[in-house]
Amino acid sequence: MSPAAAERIYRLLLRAYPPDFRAEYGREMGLLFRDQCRESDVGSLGFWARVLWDVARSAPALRADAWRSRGSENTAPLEVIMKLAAMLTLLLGGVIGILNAAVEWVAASQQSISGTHEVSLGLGIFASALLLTAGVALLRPTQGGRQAARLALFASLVSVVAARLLFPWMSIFSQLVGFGLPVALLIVLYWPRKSSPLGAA
Amino acid sequence: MKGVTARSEGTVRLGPGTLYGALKRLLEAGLVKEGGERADPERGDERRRYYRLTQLGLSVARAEAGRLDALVRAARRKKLIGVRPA
Repeated sequence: MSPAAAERIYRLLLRAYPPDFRAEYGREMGLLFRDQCRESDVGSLGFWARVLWDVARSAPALRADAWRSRGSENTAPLEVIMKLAAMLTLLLGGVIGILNAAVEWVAASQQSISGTHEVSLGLGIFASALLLTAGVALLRPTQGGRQAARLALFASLVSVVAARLLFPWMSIFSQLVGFGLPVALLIVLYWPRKSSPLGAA
Repeated sequence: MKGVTARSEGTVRLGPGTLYGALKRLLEAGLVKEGGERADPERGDERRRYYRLTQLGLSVARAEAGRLDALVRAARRKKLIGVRPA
């Protein structure tokens, strides 16, 4: 095998490395390989075994490094998801939740409303206000904001559970928003993920 | 690469991937820095990049050498090395 053919094969092998690393060191590695070709028998099995061992040993680690650094730098999608979640919480849990509870309150007050129903509606409004607070806290992309959101979501969930126990005929919408939204957001906030400049959630 | 092979008496053979992977990490850690690019007349005048130890790199190398030295002295005291096998 000619050294030129060996260099062509090595250029193909270089594709195993991350593109950024190839752009930075590919030329130098090619020159170094050329040196090796001059000093070794490029047709021998031992030479190619050493070359393949070198690529197999170094390329996966460099790929993993590149993948990790990309993962830690790229937090933009996470921030977009958190912003959307915050807006959804504000809209559904906060504004619509409070309006829904207020409408139920007015409708119930025109009939004779029981004490437990009254407390249940009050708890519903309180839970919606807490969801509103969680939404506002989530709009602040800081560790403190997320901690405040977690507390507000837990408190909201407890209030909704208490309201549901007091008044089992709670509307489907109230139950979906009251249980579904805090649980979904708490899962998102506690989901393990790679470290980011904002710190782990 | 030839220097590493010679110093390790043939036990360590660095390939281009291992060498430049290590250099990348050393550069990122601030232990070495690029010392410019110049042609090497012995190798067809191709331009090569050169690297040199930084002050931090020298301190780290000295600390590591000191650690290894202490380890070897401890091994000698325990007669693990430097004695002929019976």
